[in-house]
Amino acid sequence: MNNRHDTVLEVRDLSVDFLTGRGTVRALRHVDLTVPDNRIVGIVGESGCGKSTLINSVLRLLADNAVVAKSSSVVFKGRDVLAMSPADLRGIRGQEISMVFQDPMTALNPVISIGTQMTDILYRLDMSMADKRRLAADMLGQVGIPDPARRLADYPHQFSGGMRQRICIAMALMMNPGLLIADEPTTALDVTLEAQIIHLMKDLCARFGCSMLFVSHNLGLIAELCDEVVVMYAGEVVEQGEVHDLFHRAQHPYTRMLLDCDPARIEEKRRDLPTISGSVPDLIDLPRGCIFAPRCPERYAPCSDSAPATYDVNAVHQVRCFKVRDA
Amino acid sequence: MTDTTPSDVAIRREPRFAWFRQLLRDPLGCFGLVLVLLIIFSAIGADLIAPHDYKALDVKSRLAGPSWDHLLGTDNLGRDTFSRILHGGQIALYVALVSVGSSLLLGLVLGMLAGYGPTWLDNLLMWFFDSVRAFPVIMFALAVITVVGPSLETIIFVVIVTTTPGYARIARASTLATKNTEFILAERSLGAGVPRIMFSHLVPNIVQPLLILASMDIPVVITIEAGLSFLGLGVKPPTPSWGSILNDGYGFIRNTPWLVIAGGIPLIITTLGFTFLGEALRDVLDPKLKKER
Repeated sequence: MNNRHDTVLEVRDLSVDFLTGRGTVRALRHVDLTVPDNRIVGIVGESGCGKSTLINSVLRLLADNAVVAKSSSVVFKGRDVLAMSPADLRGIRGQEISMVFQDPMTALNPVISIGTQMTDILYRLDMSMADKRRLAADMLGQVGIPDPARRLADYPHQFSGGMRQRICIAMALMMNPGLLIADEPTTALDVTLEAQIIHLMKDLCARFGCSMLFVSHNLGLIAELCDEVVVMYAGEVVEQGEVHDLFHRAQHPYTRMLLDCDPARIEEKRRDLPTISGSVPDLIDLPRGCIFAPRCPERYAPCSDSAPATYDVNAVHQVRCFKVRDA
Repeated sequence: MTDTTPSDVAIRREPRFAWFRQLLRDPLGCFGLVLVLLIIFSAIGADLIAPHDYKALDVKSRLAGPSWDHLLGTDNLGRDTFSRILHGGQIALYVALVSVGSSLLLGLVLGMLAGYGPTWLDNLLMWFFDSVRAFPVIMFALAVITVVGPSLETIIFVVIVTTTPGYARIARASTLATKNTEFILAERSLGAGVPRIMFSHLVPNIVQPLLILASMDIPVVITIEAGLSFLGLGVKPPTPSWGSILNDGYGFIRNTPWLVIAGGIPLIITTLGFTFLGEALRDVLDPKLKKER
């Protein structure tokens, strides 16, 4: 990575707590993340590690019981999203940052036709209804919906899952945003569709000059699509770096174990699939030292005393593990 | 995508009246529609259709049976019953449409505010609705009428107050079920504000059960009006009402059955008509139930 990119999104020291009846769930702790211009950044991690909380905080779509720490900042093109007024926030949503959701079956309003939904979010544009419908049809065409002008009158249930996700992508990109956030957009789709949708998103982002924050737990997908990867565990970023470097020289034990668990990378035939033993720690009552220490096969003395800081492996690769410091 | 030139594609409009054609294909819906239209047109055109002045007394032919001159006979004052039924329909429909329409709108807005708004507002509104619903309708009506005096406006007021909580509760329940769905989150992520979410996205999702309830409530309200008029607490004479016609017929049932029949039949027609129409509209208006073309 020798050419310097301007950053689109810069998340600094983001901590999010959820106040629940059982106590305070410390869902995100001191997360740093940078999305450079025209790059695709992947976030990977197991369920419940804070991926969704992270991307929802970027658009401030968190539930009412969420508390974002005062020291946090989410800067999008020079403006702090966390400090914005609701009106400014609405200006950002959909126009500057938009989002594609996990389940296309539920992400569209079932009782309103596609055309109406698509033109409705264009309310900020000063153009006639006919032009808005033309724009919507044009966008549907770009995501590969056949006969788009006619299909504007159809309702979501008249489309297949893959087509609905294409429609969601079309809606997200219609206002030409600077950043597209994709929350496991292919998890609900089958494998052949997955590849199509991924290529479509990659193409469209390149065409519209849009950066992408891509959340997945599919390592193969991340490797294929992304330029940079962030590995999250239990609300912390444990390792991040340029995709090639990270996958080939994974430093954090968690990342390595995650890679070992990927069925696509297993070479010899065996009865059991590998797993990471143990479970994610309770986020209400955190362990004192490294968050991964209770499950880590390589832990040693410093791990259970204090939490590791982030250490550089090289210019494009950072890890939160004492072994890298001591190496 | 503001800078792309929209391509020249033919834009097909959504077929506006597809649901209506579908309604006509349903025999019961069709039947209901015919009955409802019959009631509505007879009420609107009462002044044109009515063969006599509904106030004109003809004491010589009082309590007459049906004849070509008096299609449904005359009442105890010799007034033409058919003309009085037609004008009574005007009153009935006026009360029903105004009060059901108002409580539908009021209930929809209050219910959505309760469901979508903050918890304290929800609790406050629900507490208020539950207190109102705890009153028995007739007792409440009698109390209000005693204080304000019987009139059309009083009936409408009573009906709005007593039926709004029902609409509000349904609107609130549907709002709660809808507001946490992913498409509402998706709309928010695309920059839709609260009014837009409520009126463009929630309303189409929750209005359908309310409309069905409303079309079923219309005959209920008509019978409330008729009931109060029957008790002499509704519209004042000489304004005709189906209820007061029934009451007259009740008093003279030994002399002629025709007043009771004439007062009862329009109530039956209205109830059947709006109920069948309501059922059919529910099947037709819900895109989730819509059959593939």
